[in-house]
Amino acid sequence: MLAVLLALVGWLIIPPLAVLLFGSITDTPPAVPPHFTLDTLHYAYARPRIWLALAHSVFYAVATATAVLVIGGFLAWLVERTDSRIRAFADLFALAPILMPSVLLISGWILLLGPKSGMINLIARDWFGITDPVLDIYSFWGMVWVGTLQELPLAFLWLWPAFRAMNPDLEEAARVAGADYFMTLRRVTLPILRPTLVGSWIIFFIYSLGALSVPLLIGLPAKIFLYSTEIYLAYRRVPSDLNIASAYSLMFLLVTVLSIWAYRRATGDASRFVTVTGKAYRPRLISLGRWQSASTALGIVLLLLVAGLPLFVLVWNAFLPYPQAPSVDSIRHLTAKNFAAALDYEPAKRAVVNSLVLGVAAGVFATLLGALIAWLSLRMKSARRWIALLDQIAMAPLAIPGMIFGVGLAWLYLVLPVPIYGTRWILFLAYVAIHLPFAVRICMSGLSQLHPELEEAGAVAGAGWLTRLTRIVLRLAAASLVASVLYVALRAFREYAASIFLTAPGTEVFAVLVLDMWEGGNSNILSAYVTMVIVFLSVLAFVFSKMGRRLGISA
Amino acid sequence: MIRVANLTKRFQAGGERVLALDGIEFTIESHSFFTLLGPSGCGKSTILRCVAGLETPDGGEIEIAGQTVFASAQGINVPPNRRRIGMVFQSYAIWPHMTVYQNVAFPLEAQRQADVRTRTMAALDTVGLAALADRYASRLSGGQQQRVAFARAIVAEPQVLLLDEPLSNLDAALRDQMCGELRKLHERLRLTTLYVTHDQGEALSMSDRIAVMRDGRFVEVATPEELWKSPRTEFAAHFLGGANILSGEANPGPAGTVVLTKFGELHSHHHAKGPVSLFVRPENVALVLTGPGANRFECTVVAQRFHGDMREVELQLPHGGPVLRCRTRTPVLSTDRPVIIEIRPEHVEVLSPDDARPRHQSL
Repeated sequence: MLAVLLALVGWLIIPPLAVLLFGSITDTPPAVPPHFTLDTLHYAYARPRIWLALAHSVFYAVATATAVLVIGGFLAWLVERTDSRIRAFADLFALAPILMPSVLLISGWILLLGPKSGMINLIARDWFGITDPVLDIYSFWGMVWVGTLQELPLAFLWLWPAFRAMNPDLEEAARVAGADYFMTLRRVTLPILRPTLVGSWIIFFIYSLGALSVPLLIGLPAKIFLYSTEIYLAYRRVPSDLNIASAYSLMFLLVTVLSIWAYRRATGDASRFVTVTGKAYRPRLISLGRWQSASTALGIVLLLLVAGLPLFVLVWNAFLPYPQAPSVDSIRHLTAKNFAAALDYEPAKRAVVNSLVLGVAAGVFATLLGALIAWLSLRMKSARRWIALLDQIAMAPLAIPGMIFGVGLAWLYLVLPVPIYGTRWILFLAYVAIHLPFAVRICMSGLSQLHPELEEAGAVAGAGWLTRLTRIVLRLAAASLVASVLYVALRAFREYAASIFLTAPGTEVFAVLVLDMWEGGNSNILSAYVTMVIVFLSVLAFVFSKMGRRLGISA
Repeated sequence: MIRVANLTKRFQAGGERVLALDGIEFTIESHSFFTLLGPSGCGKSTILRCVAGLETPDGGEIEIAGQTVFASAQGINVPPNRRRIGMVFQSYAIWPHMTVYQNVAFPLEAQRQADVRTRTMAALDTVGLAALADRYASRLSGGQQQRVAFARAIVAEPQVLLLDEPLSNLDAALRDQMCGELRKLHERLRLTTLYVTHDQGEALSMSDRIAVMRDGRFVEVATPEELWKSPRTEFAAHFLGGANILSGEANPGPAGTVVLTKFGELHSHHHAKGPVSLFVRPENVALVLTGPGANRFECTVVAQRFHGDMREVELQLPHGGPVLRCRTRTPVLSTDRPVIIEIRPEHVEVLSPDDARPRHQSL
């Protein structure tokens, strides 16, 4: 079974990456006999344009990762180590990215800060008479702004446990030794958190580098080309140049591998940081005193920025014939026509159905694989090296930008005589591969709570491994498995970076359709469409959380 | 010297405010070793953390070496970094990103004191760790980390030393050894020490004075000898372990008091009247061979256990009296023959009635 699993997971993940190398050293399109040459690589990297884009990308990713780390870290500190009231609503930060997929967040911010029709600029014009745009989203810092807001909730959820795990005694020991707050922070708190902070920064950096939605929706109109934009443009060019796209992707892969290496190095000496622990840490919270209301205000403002304002502007625009600042006059223009128009648009309806069906299907399959991998890692005592390899391959997509998978899969199934290019199947494969790491982790945490004796009792009772797995393990771990399916389905709904290379007429998916609608559409109809989808998603999320509580899921 | 007056502290637990410290008063003489002993949750660590300045009391006063560091009435609250204290945490709190040397030198640097290198090495010498100065904390054993924590606590010559259950993470043999070493160090350095523990063995072997605590209040404050031989409260007697608690009706008698119990008359040198609780240490229950007499009772053997140096015997007192525990060196006793025991009047202590105040008093 291990061999089958290894082959299956290996096939899902390795060929789409390996084919990029093949594409880079040929100059022939996928379906024809290959002609090997170094011209592709030479051509791709001889142009100064690509190096400029890389510089832009690195600068963008450094700025975004730094901002996200500072704000997310501060928020995590407030929530975990002070008596800030943000704690009471901190869970909303987990909810925000579910209701506001990144394409919607960006759409919302374009509608807020667009130079001509952004609501904030319209308010400045109509209410205060300022004719020049106050803030222009179509700029480098506009990209960093939206990129930061887009990653912030995830960064906060990533950093929160680190602050929770730190023994407060370590800081108190410094205070007692005579250090003031600042010295404690500089000499004790920050150095102890350093591996975590550096590691987190690298993860945020990789995500920012691989992001495609901000570069496409904001960078492209602003004529600021990032590296990911160049890959996309090479692919979208007519005729599509997959060789160049592959050559560019190769560099991305290299940067990613280097970053992972740096990440390992940064967090590798973490064993040095294991110390004797005392009683379970009592929450000893720093009293904020008169800063209390400021911290609450900060929490609310951040929630408004990452979800509230964009949500509001999307809903507002959904009911208007064209973008307007809120006013008595604009209320008279309110209309439901946009909704009718959105419902008339066939691809829009198809996209929601496709995204849901693909998400759930990929969720079920990824969970099946994830549960098997988790079960083997936890229980199987022989062939540990092969299991470690399996785990590493399965976790690899966590660090690899989705768009690389998109380009690779497109290549692969244009070369192979398997006719799934342009069908839903190729999207299915992409979603399974990209989300496998999450499924493995969720299943792992669920299964690790099952005591091995429960299975051993089954074995003693005469049950073979398959019977034990299906009759005992999967039954007991049902809640985690359902959580894993839902989580993958929700993430798949947001996915655009791989999908954009793989969709075809008839197989549209939601996030890509929103990107397309920005290219050639009416932003008010777009708003009506996404408003309906958000309502639909909220209802789903509500129903699932009700069901989840019944099943005992707390995901 | 540490002086604590009328210290109160409330905690929010669920919806109600719980009194964690209820008017605590005590003074620790300079150079002495004072222990707070009690079960977990009794408030002993809270007192220590209030003295350190890591927790803010709701009321009262704290004075360290003549300086008022906390006074609710005057609004004084000196932050921990300016109280000149040394503290050993239960988890040791050795900074994992620093070497042993850097850990120990930190208080000197933070307080901008002179001779960092010599004094750090001297402190490491004191705990016998000078050879490991350049190691990182996680490369040390639990006992070694404990020594680093101790060196760090004493290096800056603090006015008081606060020890928060420092031995509870060590195994039994090492704990015994460290107990002895801590007492020796105390005798050498003469630092005013406040020690918190739930282990009566540690408290008895190291302290000059012990405060037994329960539910945020002091039950009894005494020297280890007094507490062991003649505790005044049932709680302290129980907490120090192995006590026989008997009850009866006291009246004046020839030796002082005669107590009428279920199993007969028991004479005591102490004075009391009315219903009382009595306390007899197991080692003061003597097995005698001869017949009846004052304070002698015929018992049957219920169980016996061998303890190495001692044999612990459970004896059933006559007339449906309680089971008495006895520690003796005599060889195995036959279970079918009754034994005669004697408890001398000077070994029958009278306990004062327990404070029956409920624990979670909402305010």
